[in-house]
Amino acid sequence: MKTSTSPPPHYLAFRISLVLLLLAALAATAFWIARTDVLGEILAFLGAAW
Amino acid sequence: MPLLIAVVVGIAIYGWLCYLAMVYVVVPLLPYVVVGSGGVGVLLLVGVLAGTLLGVGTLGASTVTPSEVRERLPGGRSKFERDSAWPNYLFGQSRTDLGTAIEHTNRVVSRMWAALVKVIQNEPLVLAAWPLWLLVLTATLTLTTGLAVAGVLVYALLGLVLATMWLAWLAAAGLLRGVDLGVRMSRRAQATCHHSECNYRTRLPAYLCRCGRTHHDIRAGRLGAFVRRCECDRLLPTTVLMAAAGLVPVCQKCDRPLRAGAAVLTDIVVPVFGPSSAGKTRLVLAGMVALGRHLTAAGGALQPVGPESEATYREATTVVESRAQTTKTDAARPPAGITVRLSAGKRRALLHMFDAAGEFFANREQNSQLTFLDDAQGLMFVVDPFSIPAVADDLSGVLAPRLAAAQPARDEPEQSYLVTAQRLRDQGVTLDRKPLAVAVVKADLLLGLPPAEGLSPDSGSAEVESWLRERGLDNMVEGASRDFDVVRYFLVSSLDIASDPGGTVGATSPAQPLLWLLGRSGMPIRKPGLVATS
Repeated sequence: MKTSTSPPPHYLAFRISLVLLLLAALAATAFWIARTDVLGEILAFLGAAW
Repeated sequence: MPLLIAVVVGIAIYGWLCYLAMVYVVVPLLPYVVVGSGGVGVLLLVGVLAGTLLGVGTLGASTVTPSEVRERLPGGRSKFERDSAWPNYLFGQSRTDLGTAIEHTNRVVSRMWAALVKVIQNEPLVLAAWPLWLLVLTATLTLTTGLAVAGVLVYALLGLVLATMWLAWLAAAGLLRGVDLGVRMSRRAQATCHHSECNYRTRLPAYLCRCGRTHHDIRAGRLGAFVRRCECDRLLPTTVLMAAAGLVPVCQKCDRPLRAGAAVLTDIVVPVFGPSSAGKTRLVLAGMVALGRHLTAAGGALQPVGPESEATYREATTVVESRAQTTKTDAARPPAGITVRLSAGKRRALLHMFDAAGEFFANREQNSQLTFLDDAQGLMFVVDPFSIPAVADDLSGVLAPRLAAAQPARDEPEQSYLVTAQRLRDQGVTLDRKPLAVAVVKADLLLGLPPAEGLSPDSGSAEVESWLRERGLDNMVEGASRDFDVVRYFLVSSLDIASDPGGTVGATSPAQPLLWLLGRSGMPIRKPGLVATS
């Protein structure tokens, strides 16, 4: 009986979807940081703390 | 003394340099190191995860193959192992992918800390530059912390997304299963194994892929919602309705192929029982031919399904048309079913008729081999009037040759009925929900003889029942009305197979009991003048 060892094409589709979701989440986080200047506040806090 | 001064001066310079490093390097850089290394940790996590998912370099996760499905997926309620098919990504591969990404990430962090410790172990003197090491330590620590926090958030997000897709997937699969089952239940579809000594009946047959692998549960689920991929890479449907269109159905019990249309067409099992030589085979053959003509006249069709049934149908036509004797049914083993596909209007059905040798009904041990009796929608009991003692007694003297010519059954009908009914009750078969057609056969030989007084070709169920009571079969008649949901009596002649041009079958047509049972089993054949007479 014939046996296939390569995964079905939908595996790649799912994986690409997850990566896109990941990148979207990363981009959203970066956008939020840039918009709220939370990075500057953290730096200021750390600078003041030291 | 000079040495002491040199040491003191050295310590002072070292302390001064440390102070300078702290003030001008560590303190100003520390906030950026903290934020930067935390960001690097997040990017590292995302990079490793994306690399694992996309199979970059050696990061790719191992593939969950169909052979691993049984270990990876929870077992179902089926008595069979999971089928050899590729699992859907959500149920097999996703956990492996995410698990592998976590392993890779842990390995990177562990190696980073191990490298740090190794440098210090190999060159302890580097600790002299402790202010700078403070920066390195802080960077490593915040990188690890950022990676861990981001890891929790990212995996929680992915877990949430995958769980939502899981639920949506299972809901879609459940809906598909429900529609598939609903349609089949509304059709009263079942898959009956027609093979001798099996006769297993189920709503869900197995299906054979063209590669030879058997899929015991083709329904939508973890191996695919809308299609499943066999281990050989062929796509298979996930509903029985669609599978029936292109795959070979297989018996779940004996692994032998079932009839085409099994489990999607209305499935009617009609066993014919009665004593040996009662005329069961002739009734079945003549009934098939008469029913075929009747359906053709009604605008429908009767088609034998499978080579054995085709051969039997050809034999039936020959035997009935030439009025030849039927051969004795093989009593060595239980019979295989004769399957015909019926179509009338929009309705389609598979009718399986089981004609066991009369010897099987003589005692309970042999009777227990006839498993098709348990799942029948309706039963047909054949009464040979010439085997009724009261009838035989009336045919003496000059009428004795008429009795001999009728070749009466060896056993009395009452005995055969009581043995079979008792066996069915013992098996827990709910007889009180089934109809029973009692066919008093050989009407062509009986009518006109003195014992047939009270009977005519147009005799209805009540007249035939009354005639049987008068001939001493009142125990059998009482028992039948007590055991079964509804009992109807027919006077049948296997010679009366013709339909008139309008399609009306004869009053003693062998199709009459079949038509009545079909109507009771979800396959009514309605056309004015074509319904079974009562």
